[in-house]
Amino acid sequence: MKQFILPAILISEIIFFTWIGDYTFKSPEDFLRYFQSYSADLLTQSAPVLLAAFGMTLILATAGIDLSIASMIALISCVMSSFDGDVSFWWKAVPLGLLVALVLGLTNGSLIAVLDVPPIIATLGTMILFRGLCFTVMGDLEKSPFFDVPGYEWFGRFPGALLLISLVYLGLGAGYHYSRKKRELLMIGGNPIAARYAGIPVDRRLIQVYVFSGFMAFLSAVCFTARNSSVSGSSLTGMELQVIAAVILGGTRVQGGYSSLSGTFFGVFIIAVLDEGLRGAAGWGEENLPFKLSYLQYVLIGIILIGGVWMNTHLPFPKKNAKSS
Amino acid sequence: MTSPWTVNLKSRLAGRYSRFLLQRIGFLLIGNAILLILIYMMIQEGGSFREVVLRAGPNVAPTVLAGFALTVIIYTGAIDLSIGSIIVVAGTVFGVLSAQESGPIVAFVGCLITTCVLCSFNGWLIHRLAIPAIIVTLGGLTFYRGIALILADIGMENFSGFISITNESYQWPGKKLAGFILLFGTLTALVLEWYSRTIRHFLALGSSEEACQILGLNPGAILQKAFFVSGCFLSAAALVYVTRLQTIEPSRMARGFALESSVPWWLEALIFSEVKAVSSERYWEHFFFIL
Repeated sequence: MKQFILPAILISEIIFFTWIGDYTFKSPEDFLRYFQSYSADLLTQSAPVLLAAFGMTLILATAGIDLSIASMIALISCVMSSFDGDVSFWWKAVPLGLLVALVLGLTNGSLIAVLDVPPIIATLGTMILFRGLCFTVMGDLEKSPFFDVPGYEWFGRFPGALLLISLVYLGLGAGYHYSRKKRELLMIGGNPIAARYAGIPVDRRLIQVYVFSGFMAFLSAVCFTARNSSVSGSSLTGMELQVIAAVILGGTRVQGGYSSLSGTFFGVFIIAVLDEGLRGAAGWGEENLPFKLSYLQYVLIGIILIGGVWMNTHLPFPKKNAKSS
Repeated sequence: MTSPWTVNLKSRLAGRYSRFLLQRIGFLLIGNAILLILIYMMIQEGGSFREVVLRAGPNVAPTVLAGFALTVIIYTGAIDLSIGSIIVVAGTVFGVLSAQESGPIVAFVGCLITTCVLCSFNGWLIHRLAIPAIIVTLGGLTFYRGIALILADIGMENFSGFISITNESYQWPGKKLAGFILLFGTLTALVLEWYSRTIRHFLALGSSEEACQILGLNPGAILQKAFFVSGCFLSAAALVYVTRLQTIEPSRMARGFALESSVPWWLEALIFSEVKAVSSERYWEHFFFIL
C-alpha cells in the first residue's frame, strides 16, 4: 500500500485543484490540451528543485544533509551571470560554472569526510559562506545576460527541462538503482562503522556524493537561469527547505539507510502542484474562505510533510518474500 | 592568602566541571574579551564604547533567550526548527490584539501564552507521532507561518501584509525592559542548570532514551517538559522581539531565527569537534558562546 501513497496524494491534489479551479472542459481534446500544458508548466517550473533533490536524496541516504544547496545554486548562477551574454558564454561561463559547482561540492565533502565536521554544521557554515560570496560577486545588482546567449533559453523550456530530468532520473537514477554504489551509500547511512569494516571507502564515497550534489546544483542553476533569466545575490533564498522537504516527503529517511528516488520525484511534484493549484484557485478562495487561499499553502505543505512522513514510517513496508514467510 | 570564598568557588567549580571544561570556559572568556577589545578598537571618533555595550544587551536579547530555548531542546537530543515561525504567530496574535485595542497587558499575555502553547504542542506532536523532531519542526516552520498569515487576515480588516504598532504603551517590554528580561532569563537559566534536577533529566534523555526507561523515567514526559521549558524561554524572546518592532509582517519577520539562535551550538561543535548536538555541557559555557 505504501508505494501508492505518494502517487495517490499527487493525483488527489490534481483532481481537487482542477475541480476548484474553475476549469471547464467541452471535450476530451480540450481536457488533453489543458493537461499537456499544465504538465509542461509544472515540469519546467519544478526542474531546478527536481535536479537539486536528486543530489539531496543521495546525501540524505548517507545520513548527511546539505543546507547549502540553494546558496550553491545561487552562487553558480551569480558566477555565470558575470559573463557577457554572447556565444562565448558557452565556453567561458558554463565550464567555469561547472568547475565552481564541483569545487563547492568538494568543499562540503572534504569538510564532512576529511575534517569530520557533522554535515548539518558544515553545510550551515557553507550556506552562509556561499550566500556571502553571492553578494560579493553581485553586490546589490541583478544581472540578466542569459536570454542573450544563443540556445541557452532552450533549457528553461519544456523540451530542455524534460531532457535534463529524463537523463538524470532515468539514466543516472536507473544506473544508481542497480549499482553497487547504492548499497554502499545506504550502508554508510545505516551504519558508517559497519560500512568501514565491510571495506567500503566511506570518506571517498562521501566526497563523491557531495561532489555529485555539486554537479546537480550546476544543472539546477542552468535550468533556473534559463527560465528566470535574471539572478541576484538573494536569489533562491529558502529553496533548501523546499528541496529537503520534497526528499523527506518522498520517503528518504533523514537518519540515512533508506532512500527513494521515485519518492523524491513525487515529493517535488506534490509540493509544486500544491503551489500551482493554490495560485490557480484564488478565485474559489475569495468566494468561499475568509482569508487568502495562498496563505493556506504554508499550512498544507507543513501538514503534507508531517503526514507523508508519518505514513511512510508507520505503514508497513511491502514484503517481497511474503510467500516464503 | 586565599580567601575562603575563593577556595569554596574553586572546589565547587572543580567538583562540577572537568578540567577540560574549565579550560574551554577560559578559552571562551578570552575569546569574548578579544571580541570586546576589537569592538573598542573599531569604534570611530565620537562613538562611545559604553553605549555600544549597553545597547548590545537589549539588541541581542531575543536571540540569546531563543538560544536558551533551543539549548533546552538540544539537551534532549531533539531540535526545533520552527521557533522563528512560532515567534511569528505570537507576534501576529500580539499585533491583532493591539490593533483591536485590547490593552497592552492582554496583548503581552496573548503573545506569551501563544508561544508557550505552540512550543508545548511541538513536543506533544513529536511524542505522539513518534517521528523525528527535525521533520515535525520542519513542517512546523511553514505551518506556523501560514497560521500567522491566516490569523492576521481574519483578525484584521483589510490586512495588507503588515500590522502597524503605533501606540508606545505596547512597546515598553522591548524598548525599556529588554535588558532586564535578558538578565532575568539568564539568571533563571543558570539557577536551573545549577540546582534543578529537570535539566539533568533532559541531558539523560539526550544521552540515552533506553537508560531513562530502565531508570524508571518517562522519556515522553521529559520531552514534553523540555518543550514547555523551552517555550517559557522562547515566550520571553518573542515578547522582547515583537515589542521592539514598529510593524509586524507575518510573511517576512523572524526568517532564519532558528538558524541564528542555533549558531552558537554549531560554532561550539565546530571549534571543539563535538560531533553530537547533544552534549552534557552547561549553560555557562553555552552562554559565553551565545555572547
